[in-house]
Amino acid sequence: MKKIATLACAALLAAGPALAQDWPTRTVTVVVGFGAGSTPDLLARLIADGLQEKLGQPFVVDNRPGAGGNIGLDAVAKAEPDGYTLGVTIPGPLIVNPMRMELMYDPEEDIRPVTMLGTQPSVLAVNAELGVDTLDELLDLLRADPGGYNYASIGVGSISQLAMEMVALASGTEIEHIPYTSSPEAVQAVIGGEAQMATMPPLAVLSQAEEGTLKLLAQTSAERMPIVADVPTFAELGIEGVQAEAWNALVTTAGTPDAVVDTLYAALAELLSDPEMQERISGLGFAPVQMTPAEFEARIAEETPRWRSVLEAAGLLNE
Amino acid sequence: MDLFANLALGFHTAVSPAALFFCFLGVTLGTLIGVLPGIGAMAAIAMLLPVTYHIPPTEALIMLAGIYYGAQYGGSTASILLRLPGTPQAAVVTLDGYPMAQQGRAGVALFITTIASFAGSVLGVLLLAGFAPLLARAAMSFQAAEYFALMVLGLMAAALLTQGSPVRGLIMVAAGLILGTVGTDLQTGTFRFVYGIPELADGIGLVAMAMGLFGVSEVIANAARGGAPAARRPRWREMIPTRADWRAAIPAMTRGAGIGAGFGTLPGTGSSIASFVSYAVEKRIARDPSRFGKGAIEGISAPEAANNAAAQTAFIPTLTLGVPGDAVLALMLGALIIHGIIPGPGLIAQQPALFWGLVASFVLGNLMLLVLNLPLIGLWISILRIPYRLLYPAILVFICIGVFSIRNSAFDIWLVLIFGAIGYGMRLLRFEPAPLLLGFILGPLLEQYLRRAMTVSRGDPMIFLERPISAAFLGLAALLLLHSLYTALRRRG
Repeated sequence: MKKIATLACAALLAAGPALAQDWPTRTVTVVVGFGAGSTPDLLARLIADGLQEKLGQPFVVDNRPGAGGNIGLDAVAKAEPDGYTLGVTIPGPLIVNPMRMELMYDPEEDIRPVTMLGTQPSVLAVNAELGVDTLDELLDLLRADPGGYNYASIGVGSISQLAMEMVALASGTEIEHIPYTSSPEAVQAVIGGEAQMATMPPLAVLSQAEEGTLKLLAQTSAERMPIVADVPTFAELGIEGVQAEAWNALVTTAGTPDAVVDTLYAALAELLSDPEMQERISGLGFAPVQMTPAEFEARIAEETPRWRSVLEAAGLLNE
Repeated sequence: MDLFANLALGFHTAVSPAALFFCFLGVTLGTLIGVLPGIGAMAAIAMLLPVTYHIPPTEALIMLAGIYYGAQYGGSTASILLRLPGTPQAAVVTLDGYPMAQQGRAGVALFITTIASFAGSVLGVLLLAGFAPLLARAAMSFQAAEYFALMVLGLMAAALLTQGSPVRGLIMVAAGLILGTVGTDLQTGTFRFVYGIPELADGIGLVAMAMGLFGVSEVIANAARGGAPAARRPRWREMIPTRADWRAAIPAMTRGAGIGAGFGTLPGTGSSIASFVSYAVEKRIARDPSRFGKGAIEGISAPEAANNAAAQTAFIPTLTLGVPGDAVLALMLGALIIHGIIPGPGLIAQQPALFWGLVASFVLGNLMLLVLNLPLIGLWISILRIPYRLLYPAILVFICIGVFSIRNSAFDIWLVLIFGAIGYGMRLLRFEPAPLLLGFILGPLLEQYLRRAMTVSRGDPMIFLERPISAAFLGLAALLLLHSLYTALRRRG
């Protein structure tokens, strides 16, 4: 009788949702919606290595590039909610894209946010020969000739476009959008003169700014980020509402048991507060962050209406 | 003088035992990966990326670069022996390489492509070492209008790829252009012909299409025929090209290398267009163009030299501007960022040992590749002795692994099989896949650059004629068109 009870217990344990102490017992997949070598991929690999060390099971990065990260997040949305499929995503597939187009998943229903891994501002960079040194001078130039200037972005619906639309909105002018496919291409267009300005991740513009071909006028984060500490924020310059951070976050499938998320988050929190890890994250151009799952969910809720209004103004909202 | 001091520094870096080891490892891996159709440098470099955390950046880059250009050498092997191109560049080599293999000249073809690869690479490395900043500046003067005009010129090449009726060729080019519109409209973000399939949001996979149209269709055709047309088993002696072969191949290699080097410095055009264009040039200037498609040696030497030259000069924008020429080079820039090196215009000045060490490693790596590849020819040819009932299933498995590895997507396996069936149907109707492939590559680029140029000019088409380089390209394209019409009319009259 006792034996049967033990067996039954064991069976229950095996069949029931994973408990904190028995997750992970096998390989965990970390899906990245971008190709190998992309910033989210590099970050995901760093985190996966760290988690593997902390939790004692292999964490394997699975690149599912395509559709601006939607394919990767879709794979997380459709996975079993057992904690064995995690995802690293940017704001696009999680917040922006669902407002722009019909998707196969609904992030609110299908995705459980865990925590933000790192964040980076976008930096407004202009061609050094444009003859402006400050944001004010740029805005004067734009207001004097609405629609007369071009900005480059890394694609329709990307943060680099939306941040620029925020600038246009805040300054009450129009700037012509020319989409490119990658940040180096867009930066090249600004240097070559095809476009006059762009908001880009710091890593894409820093070396050009050092060379003197680009000037960095403002950054889009709420507070100055260490990587571009000498560039003022829009808010400091008196322009409210231009806030856009290209963060990377860890998510999992909705319905994943709390116990699993707790174990995962505890390991992540430890990992992300390790100075060596923070240094490596900074090396990729990110500012390391600490955010509980609840804080991260609140952050998403806070950002959503802001993106909605920009999308609406840019005519990109899918009704 | 500076150049010599720099090269001395470079060789000093590149001949250290560690650097030599990683260079050798890279080119060897590259050769093997290149030979396996579809398993490109991309997958290999992605897998090795985590390893590079643990080795110094210069050695890491030497190894990754070795894989990249090493794969270009091997890429033509499967195209020549089995009509199985793993890349669009290699698809061009099938046009004359596969007929050569069927005539029992596989050894000669592989020998020539190895030499052509080496020749192209050498020219590319010379340009990289001598003129990198200069060429980078020249590439900068290329804007949307110039790129568009260049693509128009490329489209002219498409018409020349056809072996049979020009009308059929044009139909295929048009089909390629149409297939190229599938995906996301870059300018507006709207989906076109995606039908709710997320995998199509970025367009139809190029490699899946190339491998399906050429490779899978070949397997189907041979199965339907009950075995391949018996390729004559080559004797060892026949591996060495004759004097006549060399006389035809060397000028073609030179031209191909020049064309490839030019295209390579322009980020985004890639070596595939260079291969197609150099093939078209050879056919255009040949005294007897009808030999092409039936095993003309120029038809393999020029494109092979072109894609290797392009692979080397593609490092110019990548390292001097931080603008990667293609996805694989973007991955290599990622490897630099891991090590805290931000690619950009300051790289050569700030990291001279890295840049010149890499250049020197290219010289050593290409020599290694030459030594490595020539003896391997005999081994590759023996693949043809494997009975078809064993070879073909294995080929299909490799194709499936290859396309899957590109983005871990099962959808692409279906895609390659569908294109295999389409390719077989085209073959029955005597439509050729090469012009379709070129149309497919050029279509999205044509559209993107046209619309971008028109946005810049606020809708004024004169931008294409006001910019001198663009006007010159368009003029050349018009001349080519007129010349083709003239010869066609004269032949008829």
